[in-house]
Amino acid sequence: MTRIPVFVVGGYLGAGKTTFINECLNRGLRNAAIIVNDFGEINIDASIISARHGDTLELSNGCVCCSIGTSLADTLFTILDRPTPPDMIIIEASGVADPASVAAYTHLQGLVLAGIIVMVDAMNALETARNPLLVAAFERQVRAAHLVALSKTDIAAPTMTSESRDLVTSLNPGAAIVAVDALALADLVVDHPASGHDSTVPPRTDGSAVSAFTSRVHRFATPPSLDVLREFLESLPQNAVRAKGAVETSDGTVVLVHKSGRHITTTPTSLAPTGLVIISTG
Amino acid sequence: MTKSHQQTSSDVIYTARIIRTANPSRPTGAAIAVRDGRVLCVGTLEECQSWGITNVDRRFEGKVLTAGFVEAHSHVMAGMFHQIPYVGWFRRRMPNGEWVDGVRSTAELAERIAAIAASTPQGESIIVAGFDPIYLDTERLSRHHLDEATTSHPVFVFHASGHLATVNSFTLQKYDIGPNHPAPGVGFDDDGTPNGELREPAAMGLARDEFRAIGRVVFDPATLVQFGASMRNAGITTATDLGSTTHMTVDGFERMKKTVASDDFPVRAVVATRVVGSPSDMNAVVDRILECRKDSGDKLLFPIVKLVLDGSIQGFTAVIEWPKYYTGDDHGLFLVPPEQVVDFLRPFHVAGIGIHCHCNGSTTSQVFIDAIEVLLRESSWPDHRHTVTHAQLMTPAQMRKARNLGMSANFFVNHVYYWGDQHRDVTVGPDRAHGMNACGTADRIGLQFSFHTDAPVTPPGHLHTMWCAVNRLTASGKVLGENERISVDRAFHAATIDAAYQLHLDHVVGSLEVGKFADMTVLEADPYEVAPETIRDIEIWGTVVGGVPHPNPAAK
Repeated sequence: MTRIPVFVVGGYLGAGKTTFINECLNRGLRNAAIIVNDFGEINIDASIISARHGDTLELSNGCVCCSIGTSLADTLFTILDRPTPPDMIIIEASGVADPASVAAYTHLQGLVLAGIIVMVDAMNALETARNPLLVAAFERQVRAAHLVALSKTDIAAPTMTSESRDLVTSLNPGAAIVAVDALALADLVVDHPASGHDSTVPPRTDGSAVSAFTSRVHRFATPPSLDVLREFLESLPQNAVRAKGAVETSDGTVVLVHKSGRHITTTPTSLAPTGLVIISTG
Repeated sequence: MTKSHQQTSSDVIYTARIIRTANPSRPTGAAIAVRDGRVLCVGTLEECQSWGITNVDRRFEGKVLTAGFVEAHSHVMAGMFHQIPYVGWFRRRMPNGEWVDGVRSTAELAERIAAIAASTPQGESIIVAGFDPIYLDTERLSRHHLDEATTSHPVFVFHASGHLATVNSFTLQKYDIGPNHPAPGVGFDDDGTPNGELREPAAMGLARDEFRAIGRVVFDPATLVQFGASMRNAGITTATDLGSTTHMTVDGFERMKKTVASDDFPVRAVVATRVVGSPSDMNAVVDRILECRKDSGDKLLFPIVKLVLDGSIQGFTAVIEWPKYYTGDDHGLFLVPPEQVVDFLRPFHVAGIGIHCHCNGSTTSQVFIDAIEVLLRESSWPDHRHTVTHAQLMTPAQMRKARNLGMSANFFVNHVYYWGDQHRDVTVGPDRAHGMNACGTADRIGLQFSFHTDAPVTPPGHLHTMWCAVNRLTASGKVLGENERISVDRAFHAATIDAAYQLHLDHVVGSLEVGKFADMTVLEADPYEVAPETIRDIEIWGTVVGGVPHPNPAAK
């Protein structure tokens, strides 16, 4: 059975979750379901809204956007029941939610966790971590992350950025940390694995031509066994923060690979093999 | 004779052994005259008859009529036990008025389920609810006990806490939940095979069909019907569904309106809109509430909203102040970011919609009280009556501040009985446990308060809350917080007019006064006269709503 990859995006208020999701939509994300906490903040070009019922928006690019509602399980079941289930689901956790609790829902039948991305605002992280009301939620969020996006490093003082990075590392030594803003972070999620890095993808809205990341496509000389594939993924250098793609394996089946930080999933897929896109920092 | 003395066809006088009005100006009467569903006169029979009414109904002659009880914090899910068999520890009255005995062991639970299985086609799901293992001395419920009941049906036992389900082996196989299943919340035996426990909705959802069936019950109009019946049987005449989203769609609202408008529907339903989403969504919620208010009649009311700020004390998810929990790990969790509370609530405050905020912990009570202070500095509304609901660990200082701000507290006083022993020994320890749901302190400080059952979390009915507030006895029979005990009279007002006040409805319900709805609770004995420790045992005949009797079908 194929399973839909799910990204959970967490982080405290102001870290850039909504900007990230808006950017994903603007950058040509297709056939994805996006479950947001902040429905009112989502900025969708009215011309691509093809239908609206209740708290669900259908977009002409095949995406569907809905609010988390009172029950995430029900929201996910409703998405799974759609005549054409999405290729990907992105869940925006609330500013105080524990992303690990949200990610627990990806064990529901038909889903698989592609990764937990937690956005940490380098301008405010240290203060949030000192606030007695917020520290517990902040620490839970950072500890749950496979990949931490340290945002606002372009405006934060360098000492703030480095102290924030140290704080994240002390809370979660295993997480991959990328110092990118919400717009650049979309590079890690948007491209459909079937298309590799697609030159038709619209440019980032900040106008910068160059990604904060470098990417390459790896093709195996002979289809690897699942074990070999997994070993390969685990042996990638630490700056290879993300990998994705549909890979043919030695038994003839194709598996969909998602690697976010150290989190790796391989699930059977009906997609044609694409090779493995490996995205690295620096 | 003036026009008002001419009897109309709906005029009726009910006589009773005594009528308790909850109006201290005229606290008792022997007869009540009703015209057009409203109180025309409470007093002697002669006083009532002086209005020119000859139609005297003596059916309540030997009974006690009180101002109808008002429940300001319950949930429509209290009607669920009509569709989903009840298997809790305490005996409980079902919507049809019948009592169901409590389940006192895992073996007894298996017997109950086996009996259901005997009349259920193979393969069809068996879902039961309300199981409460906190009181069981026997070993922890697992699939092994449920497999004794049936191996040919999926079984799903939904626990009273709402946070846990236990399933049988058939269910585990149906959903391929095998050894080392990676989902957090799946419980295992020592040998690594799943033991049938599914903790929290993420894991309960693995049993998709059964979990969804429970979720669908909320929106089923039959559940609302049974909610009304359960409340009637418990003597409640105005009942709140605290935290609803059903009316947010036009279809949902119309279904609800049709159900409630029926003459058979026995309670006034207060629908408190659940505040969920993001602050930017809230103006639309305000508009929707104002729209619903226009056209809902006098039995379906939308005076308030509800925001949930934290979890539960017994689940260790309430956010509490130093020194935090007595034993166990602190999982305190804000459900909305504390700095967004003001933004969430501002549109309601400005629009004149009351706010009830779920705060079990003392930290969350403080965050809510502080938020209301900010809103009041921004925008004056002296009569807001915003209410801390649950308010279980509210401190005296918080109560004084809430009083000064014009706020109210709605205490979950039933906790003293149902979980008081656990609070003293496990969750918050002996000192703070005595001061939980501190009705006595609130009374001394002068903080306006009511109390609630949170049905279905505890069974509906204010005789039990009054009994708790008056006696403060735990399930093991110990007094918890003797200085928090209040008088029967004080408790009666908390259960009637003071609850109505928190709902902004004290001009129409909550006491028997001229012009207000003729809503009454019909009892077989007088709570003021029975021994205080027997208040909860008083038989309830049923209710009168808008002058119309609604008997509990199972009452004598």
